[in-house]
Amino acid sequence: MRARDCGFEVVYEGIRLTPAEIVNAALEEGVHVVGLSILSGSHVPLVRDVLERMRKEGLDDVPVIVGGIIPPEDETQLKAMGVAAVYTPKNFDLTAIMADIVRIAEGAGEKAA
Amino acid sequence: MFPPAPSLRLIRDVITFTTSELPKWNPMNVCYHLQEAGATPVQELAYALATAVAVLDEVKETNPSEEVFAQTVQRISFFVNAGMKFITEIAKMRAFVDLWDEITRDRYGVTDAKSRRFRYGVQVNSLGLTEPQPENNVYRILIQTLAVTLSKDARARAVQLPAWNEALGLPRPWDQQWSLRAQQILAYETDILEYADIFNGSTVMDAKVEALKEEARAELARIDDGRRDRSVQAGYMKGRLVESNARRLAAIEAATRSWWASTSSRTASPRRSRPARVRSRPFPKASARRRSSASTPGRRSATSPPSTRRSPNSPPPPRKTGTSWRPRSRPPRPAPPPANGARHCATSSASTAPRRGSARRCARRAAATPSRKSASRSRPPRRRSGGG
Repeated sequence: MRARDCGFEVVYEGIRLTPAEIVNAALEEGVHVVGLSILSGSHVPLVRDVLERMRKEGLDDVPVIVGGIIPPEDETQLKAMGVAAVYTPKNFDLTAIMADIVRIAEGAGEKAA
Repeated sequence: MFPPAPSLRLIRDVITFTTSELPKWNPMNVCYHLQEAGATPVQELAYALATAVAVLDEVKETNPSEEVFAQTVQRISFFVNAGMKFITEIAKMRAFVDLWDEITRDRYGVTDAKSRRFRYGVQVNSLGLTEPQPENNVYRILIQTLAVTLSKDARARAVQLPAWNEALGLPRPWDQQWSLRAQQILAYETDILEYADIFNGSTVMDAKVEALKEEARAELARIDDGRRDRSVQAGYMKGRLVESNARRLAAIEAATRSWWASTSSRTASPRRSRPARVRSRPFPKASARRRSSASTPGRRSATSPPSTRRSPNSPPPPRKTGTSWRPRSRPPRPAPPPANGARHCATSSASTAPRRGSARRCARRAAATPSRKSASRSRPPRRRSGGG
């Protein structure tokens, strides 16, 4: 909702999706950023799967951001895999996160151009 | 997983089957997620009860047998969430008991008082647990537990407590044990189980319970009006929950602490309720950390001197990064999910295509809104590195 208020066009696909479904939706919708929310603790293998599938589909220029209960070591690992940003419960200022995402999307757009 | 009508049919079939084949089985537990989805206490009452009513209506329509129906009513249980508004939570549970008794008696004609009992379990609130200063979550968990156990007439049948560090990562066995001990201390070391309901006769409690019941009845009536179309009903409730959650999030951002109180969004003043500044260091110095790293978490270290910063048997202190400490020894990682599925994986793929002005406005607003909540931390939050 906050993203919509900030002028984003949000494609919310729902909960409990497989990495394949997510990558497929990202491809079909032609998104600028993919956001994943994972609370189950299995963020590392899931994100790895999503990133690999995106690479295969030629979406490696689309930044991926992740939110959830993510310990700092895993955050480092996720970022090493290529995740653009990781948000945890301490990041409560949604508008600041939106500004962050705009910067990430713009950065990716400039790199592509 | 399914739209409302087919979901109800599925629940009905399960109930009908288990009532005849597994008579001691509790086939359904109504609603845990409401408070975590942003519901106010009145909404929790109304929506949980409305869900149970929808199920009972469905069962009654297709199973006219009085016996089966009485059995169904008796076997329905609820799964409730408990939050930080201590008195309100006690009142909420008492209101649940009264309203369920009312509904099962007046709407369904259940004559046996025992069958009308509101049976419920509780998972106290995980949503309100914070990542900064996670040790404070212990107090939150205990207070929330008290709210659902103190009033004998509305006492939870089962309580499960989150771990103090749930906002940091998966809890270790040590953390889980700490939560379990809280329940055991409450049950075995205090005398709360020895008394009748201590709130009976309290005018303050009665007034609060009556107010909640009245509002919940009004909301239930509104929902009942839409019962011809289950999707409309569900849409109405979802809309109201989204509204409440938006208010809750806005209150957190504005640091008004007016969580879940439906009325407080009108009355809460940010200035009045801004958290006090803490001047002392929140976490021990490096030397204290080194000392503690030798001792096993949870083992009382009789030799370490009492300190104002760290009690001898406190959990291992955070590392330098302070707010982002997490357990040293981790439990084994969960097995990777089955090939076909990410169970708790949601996505919102944001196609930004920002109208330039709005994006800039958004960024400006972000910059212009100082992090009020940081006042509760003694150290300024680390700057996020723009997602690098």
